[in-house]
Amino acid sequence: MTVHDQVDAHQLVSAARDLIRNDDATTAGLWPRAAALLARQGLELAMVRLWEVTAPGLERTSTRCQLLCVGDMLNDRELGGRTTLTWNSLSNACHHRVYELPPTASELNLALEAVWDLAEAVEKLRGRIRV
Amino acid sequence: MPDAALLGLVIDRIESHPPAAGAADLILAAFQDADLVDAVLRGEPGAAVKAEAQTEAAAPKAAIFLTAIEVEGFRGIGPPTTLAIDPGPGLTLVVGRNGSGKSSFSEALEMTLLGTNQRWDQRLKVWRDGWQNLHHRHTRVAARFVLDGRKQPIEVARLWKDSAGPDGSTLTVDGKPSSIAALGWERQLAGYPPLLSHNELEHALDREQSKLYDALAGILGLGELAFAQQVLQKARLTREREAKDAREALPSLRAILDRTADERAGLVRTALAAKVWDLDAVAGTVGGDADSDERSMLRKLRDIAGLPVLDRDKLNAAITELRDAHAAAERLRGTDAGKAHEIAQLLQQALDVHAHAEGEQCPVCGADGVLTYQWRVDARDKVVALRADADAVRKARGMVDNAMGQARQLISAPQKALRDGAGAGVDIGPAIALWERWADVAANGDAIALASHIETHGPPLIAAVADVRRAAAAELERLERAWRPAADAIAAWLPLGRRAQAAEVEAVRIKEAERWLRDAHDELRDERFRPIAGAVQENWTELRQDSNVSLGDLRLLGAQNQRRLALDVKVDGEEGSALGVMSQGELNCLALSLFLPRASMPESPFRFVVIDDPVQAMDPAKVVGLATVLARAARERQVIVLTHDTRLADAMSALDIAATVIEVVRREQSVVELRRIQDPVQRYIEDALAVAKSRDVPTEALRVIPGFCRLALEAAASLAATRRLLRHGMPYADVQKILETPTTLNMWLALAFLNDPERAGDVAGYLMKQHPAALEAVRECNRGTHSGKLFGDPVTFIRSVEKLTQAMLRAQ
Repeated sequence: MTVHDQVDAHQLVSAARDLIRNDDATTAGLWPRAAALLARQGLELAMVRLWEVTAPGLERTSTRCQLLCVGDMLNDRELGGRTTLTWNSLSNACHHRVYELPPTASELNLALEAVWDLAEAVEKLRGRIRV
Repeated sequence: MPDAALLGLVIDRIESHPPAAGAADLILAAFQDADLVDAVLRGEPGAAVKAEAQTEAAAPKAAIFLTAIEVEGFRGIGPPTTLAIDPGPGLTLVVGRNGSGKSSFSEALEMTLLGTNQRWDQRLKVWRDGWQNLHHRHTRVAARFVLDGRKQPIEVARLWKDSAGPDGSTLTVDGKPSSIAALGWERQLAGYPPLLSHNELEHALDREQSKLYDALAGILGLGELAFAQQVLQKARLTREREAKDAREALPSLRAILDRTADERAGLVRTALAAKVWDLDAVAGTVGGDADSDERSMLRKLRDIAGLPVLDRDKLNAAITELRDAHAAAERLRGTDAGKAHEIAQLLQQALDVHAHAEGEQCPVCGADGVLTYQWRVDARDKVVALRADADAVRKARGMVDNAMGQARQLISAPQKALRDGAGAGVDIGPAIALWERWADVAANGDAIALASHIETHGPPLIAAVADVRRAAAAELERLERAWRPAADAIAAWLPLGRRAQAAEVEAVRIKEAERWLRDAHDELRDERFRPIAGAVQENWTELRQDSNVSLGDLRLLGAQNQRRLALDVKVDGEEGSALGVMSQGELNCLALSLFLPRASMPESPFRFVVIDDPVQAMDPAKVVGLATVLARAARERQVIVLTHDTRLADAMSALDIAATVIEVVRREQSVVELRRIQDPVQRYIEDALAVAKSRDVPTEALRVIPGFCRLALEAAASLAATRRLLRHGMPYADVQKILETPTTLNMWLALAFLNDPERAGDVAGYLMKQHPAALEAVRECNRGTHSGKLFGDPVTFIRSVEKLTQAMLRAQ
């Protein structure tokens, strides 16, 4: 089984939100890190789609470098800053860190909102450029 | 119920250092309550025995272990959630981030056991306002306990009606309305509190020294010692006040006595002037036996009032008799009774002589023919007549003598009462004069003279005596009226005086008991504290790790206002001022060092301790110490620790300390989930497998599998590196620093396999040689975490990751 490729950041954010919201036995306990993983994938996917229309090849540079460019490329420094903070916090949840516990639902919701906004901004820009 | 261990020490000491007579019962009674002290002082039978029997009642209770905490609609927890804990000794860590709801469990337990009575008022306002969960307005907290010798656990629950405030709860035990007191836990909960909240931990040592002393004194039962001292003190003060009340009422009583001319006032004053009041004399005076003294004016008056009265009829009868006897004697005046008697004798003798002789010749004159038969007849008649005359005269004389004798008996000297009656306020002069004249009767007077003496002087005397009697009675009446207010005042004061005298004796006895307790206080306290002080030092030694603060003697000192907990603290070997030199983390450690031994007192029935977040503000080295201390406590106790991060769990895992770890996560709407976790590596593998095997999760969720696998590899690398470094003698704090270095999976693997996180570039080559099958899995982890893409079968992929984690940990 392979994961199909035709997924966008919005879908990942929705899936993550479902994980947080639906309390079912399968995901009990694992949902915080799972949601964090999906959120970060969504964030990175949104950046890849941003580079496709603005700076092809940037996706091959380090994530830190990419994050620095988000604000400029979208012409929205505030969103760029939020994206960097969000990625940092999600990364903490996606790596084994001494002393780290999974993020809380409210932390995740904040991150997901940021990813959603980023994806929106990216898609809007892509629409404008395509037109 | 008094603290049995302390009472045992008291009883031992009473035997080795006997207090003054009568104090031992008081000391034991004081540990019970004031009523028993009073009963012992009253000498009530059985009171002393009851005091002695207290120890037996304080027998050890069944051990209590915790098996579950159930929370619904309380603090951070909405829908019903149960924290299940294995009953019995052992260590359980409840790990959850701040806000996950983990502390709600300890708060729920606290609420179940203590209600809002204790500590609640000291709570933050937030606590009071936010006691009920926002998302779930039906509130119930409960805990299940396993008791020795009971098959079924008991359930203690606290419920609120839906509109009730925090104080409006009801308690049930196994579903039936009950109370903590009914369980018999109230005193133990206060004495050996099994809960240590984070707030208490933080502030345990920044309170006043006397408060700290109280906290420790409480668990050592030293509160009982203070309690007993207070009971005795109060009993003594009550009695001293009673004595004082009586003493203070004296001046006004004395003023009344001074205003009272009555001689009894003087008697009472004298009786009360002595150092020890003669209250029996006072009572006697008021009760009416003041006239036992002959000089007493009252006695004089009473004697005068009781003077005998001459009976007028008797006087008259005597007079008549005297005169009649005299008249009868007068009538016989011509008769010579003596001569008649002699002649009768002579004739009789002559008759007797003649009876034995012959002839008629007189032997006296010699005349013949005279002593004839006729002479004999006549002589016999004459003897009879003469004898009758003589008798009549003698009889009349006898009657006169008799009448005079009787009459004289009526006449006496003036009565002593009258003679002594001068100065009693009654004019006795006329009566005495009359009486003296009455007594002055001529010794040689005849019956007629005597009769007229009586007739002349009797009646005036009778009248005079009647007068003085009346006067004396009137004077007595006047004195009584004047005396009454003073008598009333004395009668009112007397019970006070009596109570005061008894109270003074009792106070002396109480003082003896107090002195004994005061003298014994320090030694009893030290003896009771010794095991705790030892355990505290042991804990501190473990917890301080590389702290430069060392703990010397730990003593409870002083009493009352001077009481304090003395900590001999040395900083780098130099004497330091107790707590000022310690960091918050060190203070927490010290507070914990104090808490654990007190919660682990053998007298406590609670075999569980719940500690909320002891790790905050602790540096890594102390976390290791904490893990060791907790593990030691967990050998005999059920230790439950709530903590907001994984440091403690990590340290335990690194030190191979067996512990059950329960992770708490809170979803939206206050849905709180609990998971038991064996070790972090296995948890991530299981998370990945759960997602891979589930048919319910959305397909997007499958994209998290590589992420979980990478987490598993990193966690395994972290654990493997920690154990290796610790084994090589590296301090835990340094190990923790190294663990902060890796930022990528390859760095983790480099640390684990190559002992250097910076050699991430060599990892692929190493894996190619040592674990070729895992190389692809590692690559998939790195790629897939970001892309979410996974090639091949997820379960196979997860299994190959799991194999590599096992290889890493096995390599140790």
